[in-house]
Amino acid sequence: MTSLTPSMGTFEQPVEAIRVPVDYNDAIVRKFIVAALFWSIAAFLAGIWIAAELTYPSLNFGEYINFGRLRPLHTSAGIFAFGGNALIGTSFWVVQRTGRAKLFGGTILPDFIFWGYNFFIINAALGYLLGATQGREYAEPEWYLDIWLTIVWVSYLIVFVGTLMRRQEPHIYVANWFYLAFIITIAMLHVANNVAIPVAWYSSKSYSYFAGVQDALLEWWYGHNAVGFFLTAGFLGMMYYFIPKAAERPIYSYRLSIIHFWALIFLYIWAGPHHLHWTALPDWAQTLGMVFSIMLWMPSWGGMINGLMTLSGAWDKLRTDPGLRFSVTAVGFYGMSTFEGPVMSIRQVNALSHYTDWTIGHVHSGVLGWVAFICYGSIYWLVPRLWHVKALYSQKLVSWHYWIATLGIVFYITSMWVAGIMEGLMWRAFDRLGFLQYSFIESVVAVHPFYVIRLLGGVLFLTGGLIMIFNIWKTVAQGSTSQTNARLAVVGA
Amino acid sequence: MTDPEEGARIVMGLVMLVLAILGALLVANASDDPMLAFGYALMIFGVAYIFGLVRAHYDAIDRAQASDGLIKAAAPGRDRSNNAA
Amino acid sequence: MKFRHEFIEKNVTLMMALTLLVVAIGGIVEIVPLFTIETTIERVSGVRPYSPLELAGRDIYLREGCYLCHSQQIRPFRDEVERYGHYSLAAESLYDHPFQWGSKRIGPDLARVGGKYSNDWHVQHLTDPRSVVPESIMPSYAFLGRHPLKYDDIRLHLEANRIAGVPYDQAMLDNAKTDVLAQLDPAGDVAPLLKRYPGASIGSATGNPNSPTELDALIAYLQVLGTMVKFGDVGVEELKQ
Repeated sequence: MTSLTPSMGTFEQPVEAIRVPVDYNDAIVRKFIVAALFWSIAAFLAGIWIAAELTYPSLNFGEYINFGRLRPLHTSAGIFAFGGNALIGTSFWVVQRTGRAKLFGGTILPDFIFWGYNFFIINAALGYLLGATQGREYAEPEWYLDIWLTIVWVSYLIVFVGTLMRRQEPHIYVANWFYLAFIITIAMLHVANNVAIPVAWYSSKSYSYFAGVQDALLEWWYGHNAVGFFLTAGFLGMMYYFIPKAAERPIYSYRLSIIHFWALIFLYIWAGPHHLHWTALPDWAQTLGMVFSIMLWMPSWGGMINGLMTLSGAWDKLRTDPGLRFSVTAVGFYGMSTFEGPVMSIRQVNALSHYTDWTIGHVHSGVLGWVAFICYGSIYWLVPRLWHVKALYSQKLVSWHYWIATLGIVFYITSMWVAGIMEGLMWRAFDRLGFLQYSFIESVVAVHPFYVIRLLGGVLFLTGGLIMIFNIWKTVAQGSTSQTNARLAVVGA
Repeated sequence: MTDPEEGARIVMGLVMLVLAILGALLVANASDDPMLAFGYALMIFGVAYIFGLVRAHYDAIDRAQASDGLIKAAAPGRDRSNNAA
Repeated sequence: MKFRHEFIEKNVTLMMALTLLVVAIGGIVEIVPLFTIETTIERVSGVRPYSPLELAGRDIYLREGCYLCHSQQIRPFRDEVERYGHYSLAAESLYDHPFQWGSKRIGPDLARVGGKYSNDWHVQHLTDPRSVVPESIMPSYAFLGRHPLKYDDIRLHLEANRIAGVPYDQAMLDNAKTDVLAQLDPAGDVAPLLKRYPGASIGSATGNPNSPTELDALIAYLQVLGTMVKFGDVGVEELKQ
């Protein structure tokens, strides 16, 4: 490839409006960010509650808040409510800024996406509590909400692509590739995985069109790529904009971003069967899933390297900008869990790790360490700009948030590693006479202390989240008082 | 001066009207609690959305009049120019 | 001519089309053969559609999120076979819309729980788990015993399953409602029911066959789990996948 042409120079760094100012739609971004913060607390509270239920089962107070109904509420609140609002909100900021174009669809369509998406979330949550679920992990919302989400998602695609089409920059910035891949693939997965036959138009109950082994693979094709495209590609889009912005450095390697983008989206799709190792899924499919999961390690680390190396020459900023510290730690956790994942996808390892708490720990190193932290980094950078204030209310509180949340993650994942490996070993242990050494309930008793530690980790993470809300609240209030003061000053003069 | 989004607002209002009616039908026919809850939610959502659109409509008129100089100063408080609905 | 990525990244439509193409491949290659390769599902006999009562119980199993703590998939390992029974076959979830293999064992696997415990044990265990297993962390499902089973529209449930491919025949649909009650009453005429659904466990768990509760249905479902295939009659050839 020929060396960088001038146009590629602009490509490598997010473009800020310096020429003719564009009337960006930031009101919609503000709404999504507020919603994301709200739902993050809901997700953490639900998570802590169900962790407590596993530790102290008498907390299951009857049907509506039993573990079985609250767990989908926790996962949906974390992934789709917190993550989803953060993704849509930041994508609207990024696509406008990098293309120097106002959001497509006026105010009508973006507003519909905001209210429609959150309507979906509220109804999904309400449905779980009342007992409506498809009984398929991460695809629990019933058929009527699936239809609703499809409409909202198509609107989202239209707004995003419409904005890309009116961009003034010739190149589509790399962050948008990832956001676009996220939107398109989630649409594909959602539609294919939720083909179901409703019992009646007035009934919330439906039956999956597929059964047994086909249903299982379809579901984990969806489930794994909800991780791959919702929790990875989308947030990589976030990384590709906000880390260069906060570090004030261009992306480390343009070529690496091309290679790792196409490799990542191609390989991810194949990895689903590693959730079904040693099951009744035919061996050829399991092997394919394993091989591709291991290959996936490479593009994942390509992304990590591109994110981390963007900081070369700007590492000192980590000392002064605790927001950036979140983003960089996020990329570190991304690297860690995308190494752990391929290891766990090896069938022999999976034989031990599957069905245990190791999986739960792995998921949380991804969603707390990578997803939540990259959101935090981006939101801390965005908030002063969205509400037109000079700086955050307190950098010190950001730092506190960082350390408390990090400690929370460490508690969480280390306790789950120990618990998971212990479960795996206890279940397969035989005594000298060739009998199973432990009954199942003995493994339940053995993990109890680690459930307590996990609970503590969750409480710490929530504490960090609350500190953030307080800090942002004060930041925004600062803005509105300075505006009021300015107005009063004008009146006084 | 007419607001370019006026047409879109009317279309969206009609869509919401249909949804609200659908919600009412679901409430009337629902065979289980989740569907009943969804029916109510859809009905409330549709009606509330229409109220939001009406508000956006009058905000747009106020803004247009302010820029035409019919109102001397814009009403104090939050600038809603980007906050329709 | 040298390929330049620049070309793609200046064209939204092209970028979308290529992205969709690239993400579609893996899924197509893995999923389509599962529907076309005949040996995906073992050719064992005995697997039948769920009886109306079992299906209603299965709906409750889903509703309460049992799959979040209990798997229904025994892996072919010595310890699992010893603990739970014969490893699970694809054929055994042939009529499971959706599958309930699960991903986490907070509690033990349930793929072959059918027939392992008495109905009375299940009632006691679901109502107050710690009265049976003191260290259990399972929630209490006492409320299931207080909720009357809603089965007025059970025929619609069978019909939806039929559209999805479960071979419910006309007689099964026509008798759906009466079959619910028939399965609960050992004193009644259970022969037609057992002809339609061989091996269904007869009897009311709560002892009142005329006013079935959700607990009755759930237990009927639990009692059929893993019992349909008689492994004594199955040869090695039939297990080949």
